[in-house]
Amino acid sequence: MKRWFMSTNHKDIGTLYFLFGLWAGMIGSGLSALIRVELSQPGSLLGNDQLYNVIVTAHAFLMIFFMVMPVMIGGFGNWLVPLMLGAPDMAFPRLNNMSFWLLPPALLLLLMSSLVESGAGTGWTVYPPLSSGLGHSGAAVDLAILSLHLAGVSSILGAINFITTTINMRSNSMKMIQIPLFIWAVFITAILLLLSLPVLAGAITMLLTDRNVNTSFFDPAGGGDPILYQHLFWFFGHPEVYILIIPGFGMISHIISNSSSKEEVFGVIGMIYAMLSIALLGFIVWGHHMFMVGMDVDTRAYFTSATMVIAVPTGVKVFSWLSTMNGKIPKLSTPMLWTLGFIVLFTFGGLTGIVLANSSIDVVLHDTYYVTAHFHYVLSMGAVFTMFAGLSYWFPLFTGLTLNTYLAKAHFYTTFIGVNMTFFPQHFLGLAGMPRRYSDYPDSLSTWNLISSFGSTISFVGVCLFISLMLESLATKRSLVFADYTNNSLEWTNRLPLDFHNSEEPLLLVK
Amino acid sequence: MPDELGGAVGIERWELLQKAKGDMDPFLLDGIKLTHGTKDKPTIIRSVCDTRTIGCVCDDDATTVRYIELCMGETRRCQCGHFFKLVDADAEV
Amino acid sequence: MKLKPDTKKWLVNPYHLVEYSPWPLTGSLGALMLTSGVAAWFHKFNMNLFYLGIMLIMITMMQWWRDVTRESTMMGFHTSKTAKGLRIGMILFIISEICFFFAFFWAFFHSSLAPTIELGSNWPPTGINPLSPWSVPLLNTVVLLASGITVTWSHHSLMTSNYKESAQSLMMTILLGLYFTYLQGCEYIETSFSLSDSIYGTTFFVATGFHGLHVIIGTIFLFTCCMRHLKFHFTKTHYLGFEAAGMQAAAWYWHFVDVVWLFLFISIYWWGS
Repeated sequence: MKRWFMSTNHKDIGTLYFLFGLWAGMIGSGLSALIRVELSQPGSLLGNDQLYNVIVTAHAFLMIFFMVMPVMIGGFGNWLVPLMLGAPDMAFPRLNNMSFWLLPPALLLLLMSSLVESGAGTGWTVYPPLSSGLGHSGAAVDLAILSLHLAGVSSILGAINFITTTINMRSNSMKMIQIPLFIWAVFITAILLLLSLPVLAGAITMLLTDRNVNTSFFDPAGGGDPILYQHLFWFFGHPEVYILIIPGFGMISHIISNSSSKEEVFGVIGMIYAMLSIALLGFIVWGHHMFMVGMDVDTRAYFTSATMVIAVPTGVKVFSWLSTMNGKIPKLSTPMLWTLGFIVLFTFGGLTGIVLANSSIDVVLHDTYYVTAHFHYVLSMGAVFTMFAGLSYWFPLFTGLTLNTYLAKAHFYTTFIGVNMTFFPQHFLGLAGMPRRYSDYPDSLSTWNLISSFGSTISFVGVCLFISLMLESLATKRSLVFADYTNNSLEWTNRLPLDFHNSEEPLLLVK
Repeated sequence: MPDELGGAVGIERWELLQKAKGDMDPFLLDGIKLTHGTKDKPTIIRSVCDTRTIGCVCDDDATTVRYIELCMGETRRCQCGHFFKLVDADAEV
Repeated sequence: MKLKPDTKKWLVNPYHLVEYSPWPLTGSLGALMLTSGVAAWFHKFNMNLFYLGIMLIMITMMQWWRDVTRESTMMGFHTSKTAKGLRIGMILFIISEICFFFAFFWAFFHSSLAPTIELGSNWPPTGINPLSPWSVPLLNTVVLLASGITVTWSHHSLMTSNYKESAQSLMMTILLGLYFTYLQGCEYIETSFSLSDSIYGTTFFVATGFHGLHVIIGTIFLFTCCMRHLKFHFTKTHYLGFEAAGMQAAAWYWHFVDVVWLFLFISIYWWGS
């Protein structure tokens, strides 16, 4: 009881985050299935467009705030950062626990928001005036806003914890460039969280007061401006998407170097600078989400150019990963399959992003399914593939058990086919002009929608395979005897299963 | 007002006492300097356990640390050529 | 990693491995009650859940920081590394607060640099009588700047082991902080405009309101430091002693509050009038 509710141990808290993320991911997947069922045929299935919008909104919130972020930063971050640094735990173990325990209340508030009045059918961006008192009277949007407040506090406190741990809890001889890439990734993600989440907090607080206490931040009648909300939201929103992917980059670096029997990734310093540039640039491109609000042409030109520049450091990373694999025949193990899938599909998603970065073509493609296809490629195939890669790679470390290789690979192939079948046709839908967040469409678009929905059923089978993969491993209990790792992977060098406090004596560095 | 030593207890006090004795790095956070590191004269690492993990920062601009698990009494070699030997904490070497 | 049977030596690592603690759980529960209480307040016009949430959070904070004090001063777990970590953590927290205020300043400048037609294309909007920045707001500025001086004085006295001066200047800082709050309260009553009076009232009261909230929090933090100082918890802070980390954190927070006020004064009170 004490161990799981009042924990101050990074491994236990990491496990809690994993379980929480798994559960929220199941709900999120279910909601996505509902969306695809509605869209599988023209005409209305649910019969209620507000309900459809609530489902779309909840799907996004759950996946972003309660699945990807808890699993990547809370789960993998908490488990691996102290182990890789040689530290006995995080810098603030109690605060770590509170970061986790703030998430179930946040999830509860989100679920409550969908159960009161008619739910929050605003999209995860929650733009006023649809989300202000005029568009959504009633408590639903307020509860969603408060849910984001709690999730935001949880992440900010976690960010403080990770940054302090990385700066403080290592040997003085371990210079910053000697820190493993995954820790760099989490460190950079934490800085992004620290700087961008408070702006979201400010924006949604302003929305809350606009809705309830008669402020006029976004109300033109009082001299306010709805576009202000969009600026503030996307100032957070763009760093947020880098927050979702950068830890994944870190994990991929580790998996590729280990699976290629290389000590380190090609060009470590280049990788570090690439992540830093992506993070920094991420703060100055928010306008590319707002190309259709009437901004000045020069402003749009700037945002177009700045956005395209981010492709350069990203390309450095992709080419460095490919160079790391040079010289060894790929060892098609489960983590490597996920990694190869990630590299191809994330690159593809990034390229559609470059298309969208151009404000001129964005006039046609804004708020169409092309955008949806783009971000699902980089998220559903970028972030999610890295999570599965990391999970299959480090599962023996976390549990001391091994996964059934056949099931794991079947899971990979099923998911690969499923997500591609779901999201590739959506490019065509977007180019044909099908708008986002619409519950119905003209008959001429039905072919691609049908294929997309069929793909989602295959993904559903993939999810079922995943659950059976987890259960099979825990039930069969094939213990790990020894692990295959290179000598710079500190997380594996301990005796398995790990001691509660990692190791008896602190790590000693020899210079 | 209490001076720093008077008010300290526990591990904080231990650290202050060590620093007062002249040991500015009681937790070995600065690590150990590599000595000869040859097979006959390995760098000595002390431990109170049977095994200890150490990290060899092979050269100044290395981008990775190589970790070696040493067992009591044995001499092991890092990829960079350095030899290490684990001895008991109180032993005479 | 087996320990040898007759080991006498201490296995020391400089980090603090905290014991099991219920406060994160109670804090989260309090946060849940606070947020759902806000929703209940706005939609059911009932503030009970909200008050319950506030109380639970207050209790959690008191117990948590009491535990931290016990672990540091009374049990000596805070080595120099741990104290350094706490300092880094405080700085990071203050940075996140700066970003929070950044959002409200953005809102202010977005609305005031290009005032809309509904406001008469003017800033201040037509019909709004802004407060004169040179009466009470200027006094507030002076009060906060003086309190910044007294808190630095207190910190330096602590570093030179001057118990009496440290306590006195700390108490002066707290009094100045309370005076600021009192003056702002009077100003709030005196304004001819309210929160619902266009974007002017909105940005004015929300920005200065959050600032005032942070002043109150900072005052409470300083007050706690004062109590601890009077009970001889603090020791010198040069490289040998670490215990005034709490005092340092309070001083930094107070300076942050002061700087935000300066920005508020220059932007909203002075430029915006």
